Amino acid sequence: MTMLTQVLGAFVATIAFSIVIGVPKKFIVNTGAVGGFGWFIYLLFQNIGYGVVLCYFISSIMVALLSHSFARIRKAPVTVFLIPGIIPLVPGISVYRTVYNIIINETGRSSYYLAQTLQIAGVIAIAIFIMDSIFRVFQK
Amino acid sequence: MNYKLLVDTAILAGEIMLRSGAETYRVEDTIIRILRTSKLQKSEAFVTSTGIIVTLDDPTIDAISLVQRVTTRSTNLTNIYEANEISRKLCSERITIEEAYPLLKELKDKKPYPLWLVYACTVFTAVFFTVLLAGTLIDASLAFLNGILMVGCMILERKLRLHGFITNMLSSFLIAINTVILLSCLHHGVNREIIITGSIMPMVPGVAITNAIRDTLQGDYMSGSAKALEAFVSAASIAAGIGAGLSLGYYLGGML
Repeated sequence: MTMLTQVLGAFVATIAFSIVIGVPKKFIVNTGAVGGFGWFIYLLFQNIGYGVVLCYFISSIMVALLSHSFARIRKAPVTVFLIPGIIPLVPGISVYRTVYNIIINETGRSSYYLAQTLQIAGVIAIAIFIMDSIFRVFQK
Repeated sequence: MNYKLLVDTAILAGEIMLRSGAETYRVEDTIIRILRTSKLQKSEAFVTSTGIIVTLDDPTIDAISLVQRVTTRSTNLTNIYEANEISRKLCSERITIEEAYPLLKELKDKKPYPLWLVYACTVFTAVFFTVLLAGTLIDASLAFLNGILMVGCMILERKLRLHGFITNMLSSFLIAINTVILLSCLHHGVNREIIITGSIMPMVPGVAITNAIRDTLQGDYMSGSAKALEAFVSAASIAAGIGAGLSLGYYLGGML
């Protein structure tokens, strides 16, 4: 039940963010679907018990895959779907924990979360890299 | 063929896309595709995140070179999409340059959504990101207040022409201090990180992050690293704002 609420939250949040960055009206539902689906995959693998960074990697792969598919189907630049779709996966919570632990003088924990932030950012980049390269192979 | 108009059209399409937050390689690609419709010997485009240089040359004509500086940037994916559509039609000869140029000109200052809707959606982004992070109804309503504070900062940014980083820092500072104070009044300190994280999401540099990755993959390291730095500086300014807000809350009464 909570998972359903969270995925719906991701769907609506991605749509709201899409309007902020000016996604064309006809693609709004698609971007919402990309965001919601990415977050669903993340929560699914988190519940199975995979590590945080791996969850982010798998869900970014799925977000990039879905964005590229929508871009092919609807004949639009990939960025239109990829930028809003990847937003739910931006590791805001790790950044917050890094800052919070600096403030309360927990240096050890703050560097742990800083490293986690960088790892998550890295795997998101690798996921986008991989999907871009795969789709370039199939491009004429 | 009117080569001067062709170069103008190409550079206008590039300018629109670059201003709206397209990847640098896509801008170069679009410009070169438009220039190649002339079938002249040499068509080159060099694009950085702040400017465009275009050359069109052939033994039969005088070389045409133009430089276009791009200063203001605001994310607008509709314009990227529309400019891309126009250049596609132009390259497949469904429209002529004479038709394409006014279309692009019209596109240049177009906003896809009215300002009030953008502000409302900024607030909703904050609210629904707390839902995404498994926040409760109370968390979401606090994020609503934070979203309104953020919109206040955005309006201030427009009025005073503040720098984006200052706005980010100010908004996240206000968000942090507001959340800490309200939570200590409500005696409900559990979900502070969800509220603050959800509320800062509308400021996250998503475009810079995505473009940094995709430009670097295309081999455009200059634009890629510039975008990566932009993303890092925005993230750092948000983090600094939150840090300042939290520590102020801490010294005001040990609310952490």
